[in-house]
Amino acid sequence: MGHPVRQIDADLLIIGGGGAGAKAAIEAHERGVKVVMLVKGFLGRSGCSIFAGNLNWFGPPQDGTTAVQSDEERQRRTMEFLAKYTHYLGDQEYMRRAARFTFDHFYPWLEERGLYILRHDDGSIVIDLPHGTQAWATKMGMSGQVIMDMLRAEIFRRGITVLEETAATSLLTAGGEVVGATALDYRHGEQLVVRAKATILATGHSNYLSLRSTGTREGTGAGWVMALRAGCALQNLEMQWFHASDMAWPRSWMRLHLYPNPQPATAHRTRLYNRDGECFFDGNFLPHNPVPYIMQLKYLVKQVRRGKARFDGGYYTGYRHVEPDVLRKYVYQTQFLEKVGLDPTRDLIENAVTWHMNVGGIRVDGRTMASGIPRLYVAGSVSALVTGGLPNVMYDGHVAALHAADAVRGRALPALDEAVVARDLDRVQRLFRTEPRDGYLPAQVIKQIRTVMWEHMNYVKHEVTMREGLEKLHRIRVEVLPRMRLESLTRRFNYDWMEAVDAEDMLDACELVIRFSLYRRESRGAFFREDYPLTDNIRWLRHVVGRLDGGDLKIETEPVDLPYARPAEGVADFFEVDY
Amino acid sequence: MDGETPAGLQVTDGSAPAPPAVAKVSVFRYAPDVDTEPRYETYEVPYTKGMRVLDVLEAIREDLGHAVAYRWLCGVKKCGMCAMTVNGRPSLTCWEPAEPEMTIEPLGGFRVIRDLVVDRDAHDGKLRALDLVLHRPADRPYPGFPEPLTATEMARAAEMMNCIQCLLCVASCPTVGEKFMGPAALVQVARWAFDPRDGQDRAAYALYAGIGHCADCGDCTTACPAHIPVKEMAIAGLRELCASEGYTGYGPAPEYRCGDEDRRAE
Repeated sequence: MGHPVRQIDADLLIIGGGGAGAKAAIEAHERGVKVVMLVKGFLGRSGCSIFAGNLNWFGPPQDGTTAVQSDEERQRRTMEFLAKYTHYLGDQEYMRRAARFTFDHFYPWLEERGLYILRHDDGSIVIDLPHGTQAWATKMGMSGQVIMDMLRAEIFRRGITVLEETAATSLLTAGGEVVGATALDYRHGEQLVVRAKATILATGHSNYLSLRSTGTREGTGAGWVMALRAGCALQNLEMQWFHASDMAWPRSWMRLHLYPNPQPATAHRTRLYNRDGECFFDGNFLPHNPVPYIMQLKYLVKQVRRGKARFDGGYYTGYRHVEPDVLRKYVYQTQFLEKVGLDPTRDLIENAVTWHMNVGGIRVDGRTMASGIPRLYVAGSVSALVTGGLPNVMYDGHVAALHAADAVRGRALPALDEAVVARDLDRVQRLFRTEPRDGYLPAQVIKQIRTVMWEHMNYVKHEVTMREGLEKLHRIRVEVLPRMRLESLTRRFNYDWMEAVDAEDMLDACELVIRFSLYRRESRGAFFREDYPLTDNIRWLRHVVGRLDGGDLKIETEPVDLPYARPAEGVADFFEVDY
Repeated sequence: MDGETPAGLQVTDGSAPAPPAVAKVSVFRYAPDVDTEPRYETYEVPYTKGMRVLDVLEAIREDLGHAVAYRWLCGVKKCGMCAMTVNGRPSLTCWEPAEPEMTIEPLGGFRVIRDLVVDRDAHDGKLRALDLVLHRPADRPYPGFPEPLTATEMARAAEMMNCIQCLLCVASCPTVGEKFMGPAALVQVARWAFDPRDGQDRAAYALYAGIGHCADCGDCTTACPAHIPVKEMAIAGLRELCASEGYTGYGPAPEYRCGDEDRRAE
């Protein structure tokens, strides 16, 4: 076939160019480790981290400048927040350390490098009133973008090897260890074999799996399925967050989130209105909840059931009660609304739900980010530790780098298993084809997959519709995948080739999500089953964990440790609890 | 809850004129390793509400099944990667509305990799010579978080942080070339020059980036989708800095007349 394959060696391979991967790269490089980064898009310009709009603050109410005086209180509030944020499924020991990192390391480390945390003219930090739960870098909605821009500049300045528009296509295994990865450089049409003494997988959220998603085309679930195939366990994949307040239109702007979080420099929060203009949700209905996403959806369901909203539109966010000065000075979204002729001080903005972050992911050790497979670490939102948040994922990257740097010291490069390398390369090579000519472009197959997820794995789930979805995915696998073909065999930016690999991975990822969802027979947090509408802390405050066993997926439950925070209820009405 | 009326709903549902039923687009197609020459292909895409140019491209791939190559990584003006030429104008395609008839071509002034994808490496490589990280002076080390800093002090630097490196300003600039890295590079230099915490000689970097070859036409400001006053704040501010530091040769370049397209560098 004459497919060019390039081989690269690294001390440490980092897969992913978001907050976790970037922090890991800097910390490992700082310790003298030779790092190679694979980035599916562009370092610091793609993936989830640039979307991070808000930063956890939890300072004392109304006075940001004295925040450092109350560490314990800030940590307690952060913990309480993260426990509810993960519906009590998050690793609480991990959260305690990540909360400390946020205040002891994240803010000073970034500010020392020039991050600008939004201030007032008197120098005090802009917070939401009165609770002080959030802070922002330059504007609400822009924090991740400016942080990632800084990390990008630093990584290039350090001369770290960064391969952009190059995605990992498998984790290479040999003798029960992960010894590197295969990759596809779609810009040059070239496959790579990267051999590494240690690997950090940091591919971010799998948030492109449904037709309306906040993620972009990189977020295909490849991280999950590569890890599963390499022997890792996956956890709580059914715990899928949705957003209630994303733009219904234009289509690209479904990712523009109209934050229900507390807004900067005001006590007002956004409101949701139904078809008839009746306000049915205001963040201040739950003044102590800094992240009311979960509750927005619970309130929205009731409107949908009354015919006063649809999940794909017909309900609205309103900023009319928010001070115009706040919208103008502090909110990134305002300019978008104006661009489509809306005045946020007067008009309501149509919303629809989107598939957003994943609570679950790859099961890892929250102290070391070790995956359980030797030489493989997992960092950031692709893991099951917490739902997301830039301070948390940078903590993961930091910890993974420290442990990986120790692990590679004095070690030789591992030997590759040539049969495994050939198998993994061949899987990608055989998709480089233009036959059958009347077949489907990978982009069309991906749309079919995402449509199944939108129709069968939307916010309201039921065993019957989920099983239908599984059957439709199976039909795509046997009938459509064999007919997937590229338009041409150009090797220059043939993104279709990348998407052909993605389509296979997405099918696996989507089937996993449905099978995990069928397993959990309750409703919790982000996860709502009409056929099991109770939050059942007696039987289901447990992790759903899946791993490959002889090639088949085996799902079981594992206990959740609750050393610091636990829900008050045993079994409760899903709609009545605030997590 | 407080007597809201649904008046806003009417505004939301259509203050704009009725859109056309379809967008007709002519798209530049060229894969240099398999095509003998570039061509334009035309497509008709059903119009959707508020449709952006990027939405049209997505529909061409997903719904019509034509494998047009283009970059996009966010869809909401954060990544800066979906810059192209639309009806002759450098445009960020996630930001600009679809027009009833459009010609979509790669961003001007850059080497075409394939179709609408251009090579940004040369530009990124130049930026790396500009030392775009904070350098605190030795006598003012970082005092710990939160450091004393006000919104007023950071106002101009924060304006520069809106830059997403989409390179529309570079594509619009009539004097960018061998001697001038272009407006985007100057915005990045200005981002640190305007930061009161920085002690680096940023005027020297502005000169190195070629500020003396900027003709002050203001096309960069017009092009900027992030609404950065590139000419008025970034470049003017850097020129003031150059003057106050005793440098000369910071422009503006006197010889350029707006509309003189022949001077445009490749």
